[in-house]
Amino acid sequence: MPKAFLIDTSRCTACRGCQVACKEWKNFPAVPTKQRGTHQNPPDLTHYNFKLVRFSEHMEDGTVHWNFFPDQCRHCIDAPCLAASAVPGAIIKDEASGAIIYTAKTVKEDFASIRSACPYDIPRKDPKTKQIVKCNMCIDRVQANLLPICVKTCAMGAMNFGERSAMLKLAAERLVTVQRTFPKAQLLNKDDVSVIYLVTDAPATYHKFAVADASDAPGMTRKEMLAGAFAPLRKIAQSVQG
Amino acid sequence: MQTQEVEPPEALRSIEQTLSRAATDIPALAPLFEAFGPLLAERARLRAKAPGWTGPALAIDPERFGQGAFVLAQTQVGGGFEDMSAHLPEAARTLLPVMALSFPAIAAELVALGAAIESGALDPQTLAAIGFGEPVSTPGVPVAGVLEQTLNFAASELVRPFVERQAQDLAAQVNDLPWHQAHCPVCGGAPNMSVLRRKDDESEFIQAKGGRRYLRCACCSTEWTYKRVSCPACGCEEPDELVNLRDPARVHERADACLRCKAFVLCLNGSELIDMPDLDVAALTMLPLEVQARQQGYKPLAEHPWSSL
Amino acid sequence: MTNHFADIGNADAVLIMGSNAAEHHPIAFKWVLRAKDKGAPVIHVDPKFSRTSARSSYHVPLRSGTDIPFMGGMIKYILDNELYFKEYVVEYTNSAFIVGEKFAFTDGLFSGYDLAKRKYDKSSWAFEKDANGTPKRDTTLSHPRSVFQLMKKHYSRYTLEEVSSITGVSQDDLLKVYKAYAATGKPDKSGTVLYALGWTQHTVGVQNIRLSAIMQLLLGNIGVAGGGINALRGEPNVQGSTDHCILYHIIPGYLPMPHAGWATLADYQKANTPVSKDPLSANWWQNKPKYVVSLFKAWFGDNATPENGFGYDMLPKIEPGEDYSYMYLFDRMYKGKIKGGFVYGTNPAQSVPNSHKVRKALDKLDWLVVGEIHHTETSEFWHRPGANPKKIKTEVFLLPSAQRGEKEGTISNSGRWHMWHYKAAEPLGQSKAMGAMVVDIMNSVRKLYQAEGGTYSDPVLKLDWPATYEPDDMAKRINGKFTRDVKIGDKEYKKGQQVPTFVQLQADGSTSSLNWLYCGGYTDADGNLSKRRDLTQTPMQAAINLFPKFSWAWPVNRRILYNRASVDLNGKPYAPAKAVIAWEGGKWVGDVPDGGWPPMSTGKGKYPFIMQTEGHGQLYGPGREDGPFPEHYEPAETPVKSHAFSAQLSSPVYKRIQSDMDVLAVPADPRFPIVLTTYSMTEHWCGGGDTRNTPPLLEAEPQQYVEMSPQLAEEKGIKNGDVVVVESARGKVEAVAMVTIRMRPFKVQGRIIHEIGMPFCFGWTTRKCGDATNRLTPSVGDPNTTIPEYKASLVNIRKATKVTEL
Repeated sequence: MPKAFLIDTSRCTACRGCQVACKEWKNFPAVPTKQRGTHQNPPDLTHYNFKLVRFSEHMEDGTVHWNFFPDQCRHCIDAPCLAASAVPGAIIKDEASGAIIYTAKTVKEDFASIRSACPYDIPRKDPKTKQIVKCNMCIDRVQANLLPICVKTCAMGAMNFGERSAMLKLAAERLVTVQRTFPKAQLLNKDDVSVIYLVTDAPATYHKFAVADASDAPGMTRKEMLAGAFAPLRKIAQSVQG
Repeated sequence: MQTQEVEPPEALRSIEQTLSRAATDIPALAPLFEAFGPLLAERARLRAKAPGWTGPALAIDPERFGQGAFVLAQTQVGGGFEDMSAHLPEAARTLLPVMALSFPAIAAELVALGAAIESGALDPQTLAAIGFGEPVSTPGVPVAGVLEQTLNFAASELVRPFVERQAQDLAAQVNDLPWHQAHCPVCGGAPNMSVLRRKDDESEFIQAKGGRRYLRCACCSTEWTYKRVSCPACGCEEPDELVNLRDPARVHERADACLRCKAFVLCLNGSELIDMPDLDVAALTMLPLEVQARQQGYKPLAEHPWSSL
Repeated sequence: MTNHFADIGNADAVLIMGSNAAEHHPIAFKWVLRAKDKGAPVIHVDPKFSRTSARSSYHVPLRSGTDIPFMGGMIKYILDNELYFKEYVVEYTNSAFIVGEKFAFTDGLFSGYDLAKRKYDKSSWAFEKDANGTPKRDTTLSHPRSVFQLMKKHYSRYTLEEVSSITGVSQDDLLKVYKAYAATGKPDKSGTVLYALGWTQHTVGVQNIRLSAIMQLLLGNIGVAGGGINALRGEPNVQGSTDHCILYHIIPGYLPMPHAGWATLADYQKANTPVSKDPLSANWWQNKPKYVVSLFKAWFGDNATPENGFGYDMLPKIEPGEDYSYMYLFDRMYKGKIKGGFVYGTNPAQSVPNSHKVRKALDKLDWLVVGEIHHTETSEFWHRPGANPKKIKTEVFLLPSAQRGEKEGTISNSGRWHMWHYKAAEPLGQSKAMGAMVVDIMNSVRKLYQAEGGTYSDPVLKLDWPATYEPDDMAKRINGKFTRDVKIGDKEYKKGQQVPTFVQLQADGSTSSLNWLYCGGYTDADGNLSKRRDLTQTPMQAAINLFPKFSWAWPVNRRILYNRASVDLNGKPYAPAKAVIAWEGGKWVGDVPDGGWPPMSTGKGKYPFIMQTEGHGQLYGPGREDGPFPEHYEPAETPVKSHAFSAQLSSPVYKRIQSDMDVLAVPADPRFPIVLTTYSMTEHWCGGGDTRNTPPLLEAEPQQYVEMSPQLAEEKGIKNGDVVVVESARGKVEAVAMVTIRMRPFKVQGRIIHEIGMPFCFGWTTRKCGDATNRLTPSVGDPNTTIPEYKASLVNIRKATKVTEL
């Protein structure tokens, strides 16, 4: 049965435990960083940072809104990167978990087209190995019945992981609770992704790519494009499942 | 009264899932899983159909309970589980054949036992008494062609689903009362298993990650929370005297042992597991740890049915 | 903390001032949110919007150094609107006491001020006493010289207009906080105050906390569940090291440091043992001589005899009136008066104010021993940027220290819980626990004295010094034992037995204890109670999250101090739903009461504030160096020229180091118009010596930054991410500008004052991460404690034209 994450940003304090745990589990070295006027560091995902807590702030009615977004691959249900893949076996979906996995064969992929296929701007290229890399849902752990390391580490209860159906249920429950304090709270792309974010503020106030929406796509947004491409299929699937 | 509550099918599914995962992960133990797997599944089916506690709600004195007087020690009627002997012949019809298939070495004895139950040669009350390990009035072996050891094993397996089902109802009555003992809050039994369970904290801020420790009763499978760093046998809390044995390949399984009193209890660390395995199957997968603990001179607080194998 | 962490969840209101609890005390903050979930307003008052603010009910920005006017306004609000808990105030505080006729307060100065010495003669602040020598009281609170009336008059000047004008907090925000918090003055309600270094690190640090005590006493919030004054102390065992006298002016257990003015033990005891003539006052400190002698017995063992004052004669004594705290210590070093020294687990070249001077001071040493895990700015001072190693004579020894997980022993948490920590791994290489370093070095010194003799070797050779460092043995010695067979009351104790509680400690040399507060924590009957992890509790204890068998708390396992103030004169709890103790069936149940005497109404009771000589909570505190009532004084470096409360701009008695390098900006200095505050951060631990050597943490927080408002940035032409130079009268620091709406300009006295904030964790030994913020801060401190004023000083900023540090 497919798995899913629920990332409840209302509980996130940007402690960055997940960000550090991710690279520790994967034995990635620290990348050199510079202070650039924000706590967000490294500035963006890298081939050694599959998880990054993004910081953003704005003022609304005299109150500071400080929003934290632990960004990572969404492991899309119908992954556009997989659809865009030209090399068999380079990008695969683990049916059991729903994880989208990039293999060593990604060296033969066209990085630009894979990256631009991603509505969330996740894939990165390892300059040494030339592989395209990103979060693999800690597939080594998940297959051993262990929680992904970011979920295990999250002390705030922001990161949750389990059966997709259970996570959707939890997401719906949390949304009701959180909406009492934050009427704008919403779940992001919940039907399209395995990593569901609960945000309390407008998605754009977190991160440019918080929701699938690529305004650079000519004619229609990437979200619309995705919706158009995959909606009929999903409907069929839903009717089959009853 | 909760008599005909059907056990959720998750229990069965969980047994199957855990078994299949275990068979892949530890091929060496496959024969063990093949032998006990069907038994555990049948037990779960029987438990789902079994009547729960049919008596009146118990008047539990929280004060006495807090001091260690478990539920059945506070009942007026005989101080034990309710008599389930009437259900045993029917249970024997499904359980004994499963056991016979699983344990070919005693298959003939189990067939003979089944016949004795059917014919009335072994009356259900005596069968229940044997299942509870009580002294029976008939001296020696009451059933021809059945070794005492086999009889005890089969009888206790027959009784167990009914006991477990009753215990579920009884435990529900004391859920909110504090319990700090190493024996079972329902039946007073000793634990043969422990588990660390992740517990979602109602606090919005920090979540404990280590999981809470639960002991599990060898008799009625009730679980209760217990102080984490401590030996349930002698109360030792000195970390230097508490060790755990584990297989580096299976980090979430261990035997918690005490250097002071030489007792051990198996422990499943479920704190970072995605799916919580069925605990009976989990205990089965930990048999190598149990063997290792015994070889090192540790004794269990209570045994599993397969512990003597 | 008067209370403990889990107790915060019992509060009906939580006021967090001078603390970034969510980031620096995350586990404690869990209990804050527990209270919030139950409906308590959580109020964060702090110059910077932090993650604590984000999680609070609301954030109120306040200019650094104006906590006293902020709270003074609250006192006035409580008194004007009669929101105080009258019975509590009359019975349990010194509100009814009559202050002597000589007391005066004139234009910011209390009576007895000596300008030349910058000191008060406190004798005129004393209470008026009756013929028996007990303080006179007027329980109608109407006497013009009663504490209550004097207090009312004192804080009548703290009007909303003036408070708002000096703090930069709008009147609406002030009223919102005052109203929400003062609601806890009802008998069955409680409010808790959480503070940290944001209150202490000021020239008025002690008075900040004093004023919160006054506020809490007026509201009846001391001694109750969900109340108290709660210092969130640091992970480096700040509570434990304070209890065991990390400060120079005390010896373990808050006993005064012997000084040369007290030639004999008798002189010392006479000067330091308070006397109360009131039979209803427990005056607990009257037992001080027992604790003193027991401590000396633990130090000198059999060599402590009545003839040598139990070793008092052998003790080094400080000069009366001299200050030996670390700013003065480095000043002496800078002036060439110190030859060498040991530095353990601290990084003064990074974390002491005016660090340029500290670094130069280290150059003057002949030798320096540093016990550390990593090379730090202190151990490496001799090749710091700009220094010429060839010209520095100091010989430096670096002793490799074990990490926290590599050693066992106790830590005392903020709630005074004494908790044993177990060793998780063996120390790497030759590294050792610091306790082992001290014991081993001292043993070598003793051997040298034994072999070669020396001038007055007694204090070294006559110590009862262990052969090796054993944490368990040390824990036993801290509790203390009987040094001979004795009979106390009808109980007999054998020589060598552990002392059961400090009640059995004696002044005749028959007991030893390295710290009386911890006596009772390691007994023969129960063993080492800091290892206890038992969660059993009674339903009454469960109702207030009190776990009496989990670890052990000083004193005598009392979890909430002054808890007899939580009950009325008959011993009935004011807040029955969250009772701390109650008098039932002729005994106290619940927490361990502050003394087991029966309720006051029996006539055999004692006043609840047993550590005060008169037994009452001190609204009026005549013991402090800077006055019996907290009064607003600006920081030593202030952006204003004057204020409305008095002509006394800054504290008349704050400590100020004098040297060519200790320059201060003048008030409202046009060269340095901006307020600087400094703080810790989540990713780096204290001065960063440890965490800057942890690559993933350095990746997350790589370099020195300065947080500033967009308004200030615009004024100065600074863009987010620009490197700027922050400059004070003492030094310059390069930092990356973090322009953020979380910092706001303050409207003070009708004009805009900007405040900026910087972490203090970045130092040059980590390549290109920047260098010490404390090169900017001044060597000025509180008159009572000499804690430096890290939280408010003056600077200017400009865009850097040349970058060398980053």
